[in-house]
Amino acid sequence: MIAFDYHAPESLQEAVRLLDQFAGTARVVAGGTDLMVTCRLRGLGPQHVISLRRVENLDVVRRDEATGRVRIGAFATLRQIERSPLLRERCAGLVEAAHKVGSIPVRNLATIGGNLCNASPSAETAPPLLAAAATVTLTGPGGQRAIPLEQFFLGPGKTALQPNEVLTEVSLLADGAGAASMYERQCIRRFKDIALVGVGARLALDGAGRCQAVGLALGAVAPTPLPVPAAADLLLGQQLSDARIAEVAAAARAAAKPITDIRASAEYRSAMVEVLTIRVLRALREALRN
Amino acid sequence: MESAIESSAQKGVIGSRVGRLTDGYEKVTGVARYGADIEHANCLAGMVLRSEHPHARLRSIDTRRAEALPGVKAVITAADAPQVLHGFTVHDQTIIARERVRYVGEPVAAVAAVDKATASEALRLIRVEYEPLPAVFTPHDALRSDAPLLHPNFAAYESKVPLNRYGNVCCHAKITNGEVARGFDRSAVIIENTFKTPHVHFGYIEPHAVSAAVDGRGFLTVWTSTQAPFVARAALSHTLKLPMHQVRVIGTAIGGGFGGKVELLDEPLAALLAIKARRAVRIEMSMLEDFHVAQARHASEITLKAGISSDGMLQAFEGTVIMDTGAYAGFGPHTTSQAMVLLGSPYRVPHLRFEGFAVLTNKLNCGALRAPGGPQAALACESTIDMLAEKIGMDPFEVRLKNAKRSGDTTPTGCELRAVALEQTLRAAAERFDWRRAVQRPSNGKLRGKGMACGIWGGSGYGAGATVRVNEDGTATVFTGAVETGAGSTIVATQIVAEELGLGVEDVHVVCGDTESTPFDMGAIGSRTTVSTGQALRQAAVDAKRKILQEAAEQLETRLDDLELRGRQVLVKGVPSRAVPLREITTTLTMKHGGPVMGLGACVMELPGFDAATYESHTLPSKPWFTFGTQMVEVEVDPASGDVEIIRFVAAHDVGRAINPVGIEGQIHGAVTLALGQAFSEQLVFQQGRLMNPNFLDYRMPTALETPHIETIIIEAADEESAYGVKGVGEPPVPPVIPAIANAIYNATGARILELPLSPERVWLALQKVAR
Amino acid sequence: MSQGTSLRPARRLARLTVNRETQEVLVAPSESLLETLRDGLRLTGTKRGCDTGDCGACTVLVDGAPVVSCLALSLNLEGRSITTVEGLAQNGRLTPLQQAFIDSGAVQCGFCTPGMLMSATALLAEERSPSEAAIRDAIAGNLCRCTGYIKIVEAIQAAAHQGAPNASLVS
Ligand SMILES: Cc1cc2nc3c(=O)[nH]c(=O)nc-3n(C[C@@H](O)[C@@H](O)[C@H](O)COP(=O)(O)OP(=O)(O)OC[C@H]3O[C@@H](n4cnc5c(N)ncnc54)[C@H](O)[C@@H]3O)c2cc1C
Ligand code: FES
Ligand code: FES
Repeated sequence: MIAFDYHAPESLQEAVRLLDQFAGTARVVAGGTDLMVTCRLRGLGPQHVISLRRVENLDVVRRDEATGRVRIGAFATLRQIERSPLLRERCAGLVEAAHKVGSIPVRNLATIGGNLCNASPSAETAPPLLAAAATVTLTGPGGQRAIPLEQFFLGPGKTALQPNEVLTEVSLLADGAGAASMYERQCIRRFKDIALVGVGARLALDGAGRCQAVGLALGAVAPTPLPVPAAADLLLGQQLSDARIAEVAAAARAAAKPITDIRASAEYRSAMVEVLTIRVLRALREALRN
Repeated sequence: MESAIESSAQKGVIGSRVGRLTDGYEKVTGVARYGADIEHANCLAGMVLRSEHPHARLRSIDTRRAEALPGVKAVITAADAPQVLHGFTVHDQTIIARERVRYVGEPVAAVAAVDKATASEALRLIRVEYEPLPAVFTPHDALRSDAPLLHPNFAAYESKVPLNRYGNVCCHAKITNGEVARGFDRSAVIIENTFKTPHVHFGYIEPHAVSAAVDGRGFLTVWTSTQAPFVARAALSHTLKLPMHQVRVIGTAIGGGFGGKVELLDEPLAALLAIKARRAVRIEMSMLEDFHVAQARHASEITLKAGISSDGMLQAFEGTVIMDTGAYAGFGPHTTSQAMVLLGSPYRVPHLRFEGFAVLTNKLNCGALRAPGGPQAALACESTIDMLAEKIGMDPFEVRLKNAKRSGDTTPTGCELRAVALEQTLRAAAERFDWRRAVQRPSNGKLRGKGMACGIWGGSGYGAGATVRVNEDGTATVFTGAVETGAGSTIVATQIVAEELGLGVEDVHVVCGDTESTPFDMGAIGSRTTVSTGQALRQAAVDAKRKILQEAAEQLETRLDDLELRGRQVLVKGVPSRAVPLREITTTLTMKHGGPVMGLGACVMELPGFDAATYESHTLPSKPWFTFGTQMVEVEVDPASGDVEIIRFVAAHDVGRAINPVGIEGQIHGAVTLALGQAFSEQLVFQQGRLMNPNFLDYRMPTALETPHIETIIIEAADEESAYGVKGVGEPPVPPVIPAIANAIYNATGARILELPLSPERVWLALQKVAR
Repeated sequence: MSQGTSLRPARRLARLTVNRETQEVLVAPSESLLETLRDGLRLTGTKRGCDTGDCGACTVLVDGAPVVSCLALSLNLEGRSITTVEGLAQNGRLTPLQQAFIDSGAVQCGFCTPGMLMSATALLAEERSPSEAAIRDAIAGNLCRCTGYIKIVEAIQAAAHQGAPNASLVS
């Protein structure tokens, strides 16, 4: 176990200042469910951790009436997310992904910000967020900047976050009015496990049942969570026929760059991208019919 | 405690449903003390430095910097330990590596310091110079004639049983019945397949934890979450060269054992540290350490050739069993011998020949995980039966029924089988499951199928003592060396003593698992406790009862035969008015003799005869009792992903006599679930001798979401050799689970899978092949 | 098998309410709640299994919500209310859930039991009669190697039929 020092500043500005001061030897700690495990199993860890528990309103979930997007404070726990009435109604894909992480006693600690900042290729919340055109807000000494989530992930464990920045908010497109989202994954153990492959999708149909907006993203099949716009775009302006869905799934499979590791072979992961994409798109078609 | 059970003093206690009356209260309130919970004044934190190499010579160990660190109170290496070899069958192991390390995780040094942080810092300061040696990681590599040897002269080690050993083979066993060539000549169909199973972790949730202290005279006390305190005491006495009266082992509450808490691990290290530091020392393994060093189920490769006649009679089995036993012989010779017996035991096979090899590799030691050798053998045997049945166009149920062993038959080593209820379990399972009914084909594109498998399991015997003390007020205190592993042994002990003495279960208290205050018991291993300890307990209770009735006969001036003990009273048969409270008799007896009423019992289950001409270099030709079971399962397979869901699971097991049905159901549920984990997802993954998944994230045991309902059927075919007819139930439900599922997957999909685990990917791959 | 660094930042006082009693506890900055409970406060009823969030043996309630105490930083819980298995029974009276675990045979080795009880207590505080699926979901983070979960589910169902446990535990 790594012994680090702990700081709980009163404000976001103070937190950023501390991060800046410790110049790369400090990390934010949110729920600690990744950080503590890394310290324990790998004996790796920062010299200082900065907790934002004293700072209020960093876990607020709300709908931005102006844009229609949903905004989630980075320190919202995954349990909060899966239980939020707003998110259950407006962000079904994200809620499903949050629900699949770990277990209730883990989700009561784990935050959405931590899930993203940890930048695991299999991070559960990433595919549905990418599919819903999410952006992340990063707060640093110079103020805030917002970037699309797909520019946030740089590699396993690597993000666009500067050492002196805090991820403060995530915003994404909402379901409703002809739009719906969904997330599915394949594991070894059927329910409780890390994803071998995850597929998040969001579809918006026009009045005639043609796809107006399509988001599709994959988890655990590339060094980062992977949006597959080329596959998604095949649906634009199209009806959701079985044949078209199969085409999209094949394209998603082609875009995936899985590896073989102790959990699964690249071959199986590729095949599951196709299987899950078909499953998710068909289920969305079903959901949007009703 | 407010007992859930109303007083059972009036009615029979044996056979009644009893909850956790002995240990439940402490466990639901957090009061129970497990290995890591024992408190000591001034206790030091012990930690162990473990080898990072799978095979290396220890050039040098420099502990000077660690010793100089403030707060460090003792550092030990092999130089501090007596030069003694130990081991389950072969004495091939030291308690701390000497000159060589043979697996990643083997102890090299240990420290005791004022707290964990200091101890951990001290470990970092120990300099070990390793000279890496060529290593072998699979039995196939280890069997090559030019393979590097783990032990330069393995054959020279002392062994409790004569074994054929050479090279990296620590046991080469053989069994022969009849002439296989004749059997194959008579066969209409002959098939041959090779089945593979990986290493499996015990999976208890409590990592190993031990503490040790010495008193002023140097007498040692060790608190450990062991399944077998007397085995631990003997091993400590042997490895530390201390006479037994100077060694006390106290079994703490155990957070699951399943065979993984029998042999010594950190106990002698904690003891040596305590002796050196003259202070109490506690060593708590992390789960990461536990995964590396705390043994495993043997990985296996079994090739089985089998022949059957067109009328469905088995003719011949010929097979090779290879067990990967790791760096030391450990339980390897036993597991190999056992698997060979089990392969040929459920069914009558007139001609058979098996060879078995327990092979040393540079990996962790393998032990006796709940039914060692059982699942490996059953996968081969029961898959083969289904394949043969299909080839001759017969229902697998019929084939099993036709060939099932009956009472009076023998195992392949000639050990006689008593009270065999295989046929009963087959019929009971088939009736409940409705085996004849065709499986519904779902409309959602998924595939359903059914499968069955039978299993045989033989329990272990060994000695057990018991003492029953009837107090002045007629309540009883029971002393047994058998610890409560959670399997319910103290509940059964309570029931047996209450039954014999006419008491309620609330009138009996069980003291267990302390080598200083309880009689000898071999421990909770091999499903033996209810059978062997139960027998000793009954004897002890009957002994006490005899003394009580003798006194009562004198007082009441009646014949002994006319008296009985019931409802806390001594009754004169047929004359209710002459009943005397038990309390009066026991008070008188105590006052008269100046001591409590004591009953003594002891038991060694007799080993049935066997035929020494049938085997060579085999460690388990006979076992005191065997039992059988049948399981049936319906599965639903998603052909797109390879996911398998269990729709229905029926398990019928012969327990001889159900003393506590609640406990038996719990044992069956737990054993089946443990095997389901091995079936679908559990395996230790090694790369170059290094464990790649030493945690519960990537070592996947079933959770509440993956576990099905398990319908249990309890068959009672009493064994006249044991108390009340009981047979053990802890291990028997394990072996059939995996082949039943493999058979069901085949039935659903047409894909026959010969290797575990039956993970979605493996099932999916098999389905791809079938489709082609 | 990695070992720690020599860096050892100073311990400091944290105010924690444990089983309804507020106390100042000296904790190291990187200390987990599990370490504080077991090593600092000697409340050993909460079990250390994996220490990595996977087994649930260390589950306690924080302001009524179950969390894995092995991954929670003690200093992050300053001012919060923690309930451990030792805080369930009051004045020697078991909660209906604890009693049901005994009666149903839901306890074998008992090592998972404290964590199971905490997860189930939180569930029953929120849902008076949860479905079997909800029960299994609630305890999915609590590994049990002994029981196959069947009798544990039965015990939780039995306790649910008797009404919710003491609600003050799960504010
Ligand atoms: C048993 C178990 C099972 C799990 N199963 C899954 C699973 O199935 N799927 C899955 O995706 N994940 C799984 N996880 C991991 C999941 O719990 C985490 O990814 C979690 O969401 C991380 O959130 P946290 O708040 O705990 O992060 P922390 O551990 O606190 O932080 C993680 C990293 O992100 C940084 N960080 C956190 N928040 C911020 C912020 N706001 N700004 C800047 N940096 C920040 C930290 O410095 C740290 O480097 C599992 C974990 C456990 C223990
Ligand atoms: S000890 Fe905390 S989850 Fe295992
Ligand atoms: S009762 Fe042993 S782990 Fe659950």
